This record gives sequence, C-alpha cells and structure tokens, in this order.
Amino acid sequence: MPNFYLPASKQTPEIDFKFDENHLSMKGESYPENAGAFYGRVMEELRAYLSGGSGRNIVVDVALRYFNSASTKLVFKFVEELDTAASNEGSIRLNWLFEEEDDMLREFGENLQEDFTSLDINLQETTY
Amino acid sequence: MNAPMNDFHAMAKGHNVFFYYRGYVSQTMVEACAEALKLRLESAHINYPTQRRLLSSFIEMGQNVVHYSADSLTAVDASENEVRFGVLTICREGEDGQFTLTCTNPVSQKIKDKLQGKLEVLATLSVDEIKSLYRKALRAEGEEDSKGGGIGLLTLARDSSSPIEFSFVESPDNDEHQMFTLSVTV
Repeated sequence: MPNFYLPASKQTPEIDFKFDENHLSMKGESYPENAGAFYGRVMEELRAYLSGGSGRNIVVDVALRYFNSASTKLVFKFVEELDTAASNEGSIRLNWLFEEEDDMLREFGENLQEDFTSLDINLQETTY
Repeated sequence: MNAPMNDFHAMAKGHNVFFYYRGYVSQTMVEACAEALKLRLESAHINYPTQRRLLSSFIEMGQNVVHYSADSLTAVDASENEVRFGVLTICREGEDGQFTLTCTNPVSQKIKDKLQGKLEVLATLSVDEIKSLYRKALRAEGEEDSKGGGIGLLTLARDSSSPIEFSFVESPDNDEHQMFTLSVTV
C-alpha cells in the first residue's frame, strides 16, 4: 500500500507512515478541535497496513510533545491496535519519546508498558 | 482619561491576574493564546512540569468552552469551527507562586446535574485515585454526548496540585442557564 504522510500543523502532529520500510512515526502536538476526525483517518491507514501482512519487524516512533484529553484516548487506541497485531508480526517496537522533565508523559509511557505487554515499548528521553 | 478601564486594570493587577479573556472562544483563539502563553512561561523560566500542566489545563478549559458552553454563535450540532461564550482566567499567587486557572461558561440545567455529580466525586479523590480512574477511563468507550472521550475533567483533576473547585450560580442573562465555574491550581 502507498505510504501515508500528513504534515504537522500547530494542533496536529506530523504523521509519517513509511509502510515500505515498516517504519511509522507521529510527531508534534495534538489538540485538534475534532480529534475523532483527525485520528479516524490515521487509524484507518494503520488498520489497513496491519491487516495487509505478517511477520514484519515494525518500528513505531511516537514523539508527541503535548496531546489533549480527546487525543489521549485515540493515542491509547493506536497503541492498543499495535499490541493486538504484535502476535501476528515478527516484532513491533514502540519508541515512546518525551521531554526529559515531563514526568506526566514518562508516566504515561510506563503505564503503556504495563498495559500492552505484546509490544516492545522503549521509553526515550528527548529535548524538544 | 478612561476611569472604569483604569479601575479595571488596577483591580486586575491587585488580584495578580496573569491572563484574562471574556467573550466568544474558538479553537483558533485557544491555539493563539496557548502559543503566547507558552512563550511567556518559557521566557519567565517557569519550570517545565508547571509549564506543561498550565498549558494542558488552559487548552482543556478553552476547548471545554468551545465544545460545551450553552451560549453558542454557531450551530449547536456543529463539530468543527465552533464559537461559544466563556471566561478564561489565570492568576498567579505572588511572583513565584502557583497559578490558578479558572473557566466560566453557561450550561443548561441538564448539563449542570450531570457535571455536579461527577465533580463532587472528583473533588474528594486522592491523586492516586484520580490516576487510577484516568487509566480506567482510557479503556472505556466514549460517552455519547462527549466530544473528548470523557477524560477531560479527569485530566484537569490529575494535573491540579490541589483538589479542583467548582460552583454553579444562576445566570443573570438567561433563566434556563447556570454559570458554571471550574478552578485548578498548577
């Protein structure tokens, strides 16, 4: 399937799904007025990709500096989809990036590690 | 000389008002104000966790007004480009103190009843209890009348360093509305 790219705006992250390299990335801030509409498209692409193959080694980078409550739920669903697909793939590694002083995003990443054990979730400090 | 405006400015200064907006709020406005606030917090060298909590709470409150205020300039069933009435305030206790964020907007009696039940519970919970509820809410399916997955209030409560405070008073302009005020501290 063709790669999927959405440039970042002030309130939506850059979406860079390089399906041909099995490398997916979401990067930026996320607080659109209608989070459901924005992530609806993203999830559609993700589901099509995950159901279109198996045994792959997939790397996903999530570097969301800030996301609002409506986006939080959809980011969680995104990770849930990856976790569900993990048994069907070779491996799925999720790099969860956060500003080193951001205790909340660190904790969010730690909670993802507890909640989704089929994924290899790697917490990475970064500086924006 | 504009005496009322001078009084207003003096009073705002006396109450350590850091930010004040009263009027119609849109997503674009929330974005522009958040950007200006972010620069201001960075240049004042406010520590990152506080910046983060302040901006997060400001955006949640602004978007709550845009989504739920009962006074709307746009169609009530719109899901994009909504413009609704509210008041957003940030006060700082002294030069190095904590920030209190407050939002006020009219709500219908029905929404009041719903919010009051939720907020009364939230206001009594410990930080750990709030975090545990938040994690549960992430997994729950969204509520039908919610535009944010139903975790907006939990997010505000989680980021607040003291229990959230709220009130409802009769609206002076509309018998069917209550003015809803919510405050958090970061």
